[in-house]
Amino acid sequence: MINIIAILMFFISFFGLITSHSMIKSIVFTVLMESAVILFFLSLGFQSGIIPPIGVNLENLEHVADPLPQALMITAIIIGVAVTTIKITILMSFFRKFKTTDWDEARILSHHHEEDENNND
Amino acid sequence: MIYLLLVLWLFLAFCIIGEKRNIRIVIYLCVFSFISSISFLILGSPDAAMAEAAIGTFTGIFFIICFEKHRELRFNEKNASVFSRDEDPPDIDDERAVQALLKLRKKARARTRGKHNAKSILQRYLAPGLFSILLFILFIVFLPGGEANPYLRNQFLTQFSEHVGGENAVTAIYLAYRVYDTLFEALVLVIAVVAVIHMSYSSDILVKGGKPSHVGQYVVVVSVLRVICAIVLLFGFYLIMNGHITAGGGFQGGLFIAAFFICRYLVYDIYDLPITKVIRMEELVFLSTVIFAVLIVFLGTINHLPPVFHIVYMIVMNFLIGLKVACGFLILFYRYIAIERR
Amino acid sequence: MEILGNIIIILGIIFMLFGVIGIFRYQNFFVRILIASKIDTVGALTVVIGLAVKHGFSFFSLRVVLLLVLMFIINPMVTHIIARSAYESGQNIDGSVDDIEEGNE
Repeated sequence: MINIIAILMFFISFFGLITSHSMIKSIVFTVLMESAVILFFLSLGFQSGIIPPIGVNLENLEHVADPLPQALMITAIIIGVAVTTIKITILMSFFRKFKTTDWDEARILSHHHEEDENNND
Repeated sequence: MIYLLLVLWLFLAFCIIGEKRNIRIVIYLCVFSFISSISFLILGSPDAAMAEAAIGTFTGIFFIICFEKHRELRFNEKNASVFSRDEDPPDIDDERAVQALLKLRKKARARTRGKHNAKSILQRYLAPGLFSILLFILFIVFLPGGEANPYLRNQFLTQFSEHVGGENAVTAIYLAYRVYDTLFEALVLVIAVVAVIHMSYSSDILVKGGKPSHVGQYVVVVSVLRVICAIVLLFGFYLIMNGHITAGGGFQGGLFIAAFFICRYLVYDIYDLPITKVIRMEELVFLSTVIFAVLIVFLGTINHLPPVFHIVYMIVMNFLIGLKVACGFLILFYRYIAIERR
Repeated sequence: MEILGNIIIILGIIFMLFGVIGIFRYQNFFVRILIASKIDTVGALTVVIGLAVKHGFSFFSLRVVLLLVLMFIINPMVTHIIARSAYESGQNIDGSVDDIEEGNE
């Protein structure tokens, strides 16, 4: 059930990503998509009353969470925020150059900009 | 309990879709990562929950710095003066070019306003919506069902204390069984720092001058933060040192150490941090992490060492990763504060 | 001891409930931040005290008390910084609702 919610979340974010006018919102939706993927992996083998995989002599292994996806997802979280900072930097450079964060305006503006550069050459 | 939280989670996503104000989007994003942190805790992974909680804060800070600049530039443009500050952006140094760009932009805005009519709503929202629903249904239909095979999980859980040592299975996996993942994660963080410096509008690497933080005037806040930042640093080292016993580890501890430097910036308005030295230090720490991991794990030395050295290996490795993550986030934070915000 | 702890926790949750009702009841920003501060000071502190009482004298209680001290210092400070920065950025202090946010579009 939780993995279905995670997939639903992923596609809601996907919808928001491709329909939003604002670039900032698109970046936020990529963050949301990452969260959905992380939740999907962490919910593998979930059951109620699950305990964290910490301790030496773990009895009754059925109720212990799977440690492998957790170790992978910790690295995924850190990589996610590193990539997000790159996205924000590109956005800020773009905004300083073209003074807009709207996708449609940006398409027209960058098109004109290329034409101008070609004319100058 | 978890389902209630997840319904709230989905509701927040719809809120973000319908929201137009940037600052509210960031607040929703922070609440979102708070809720996902609690969900991860309920799903039995305190390590990921701690990392997500710290990361949500950092993402919020980066977005807010970005919006501050964004809002200021828009505000200046509305008040008809193009740039209120002394310096011009390096891409457009001619005033006339700026005016031409603004005129062009007004034209583009008029054109897009025409485009946002009811005519294009169909292809703008309906087609992507149907496409998303179709993909969702396809995913649900082809989702592999049944129980997961617990073989690997039981292997890891029964043997990690014997093979690696410590009490935290997650730390044992990311420091011994799958240490190459951790090394590539550290590499990605180095690349992110390089990319942020390279793709920025300014080619400065050194940080000099900049806006002071407004917090400096607030006497109450400054005197409280002075006490808090020591506790934050202590907590960071506690997480690193006890990473092999309880929840925590290099990543989370490193984030808390970076948070200590943010507190320090807020209290003392420090800009003269030697960023180039921090970058050099990050490279050195990354190199030593790689060498240490290769010497101990990849060459198989860990199988011949007595179990006491396993604990030493995990503590040293956690410490190196923590320093690495702290340096990376410190550079990114100072980059945003001092150069992107300028 | 456990029943006493549960009663204190329920009391804290009732404080939080009043805080949430108050946020939706009033429109003025400063009244709302005053009421919202009740959630994360009085409500949260009462819940944490209830947890400490519930577990009696143990190592867990010691850690909870440490957390209590931190919350006691940090939460009022956060409310203070929000209210003060709102005042300095031009939010009206009398009842009129003033939207100072600037939208993207």
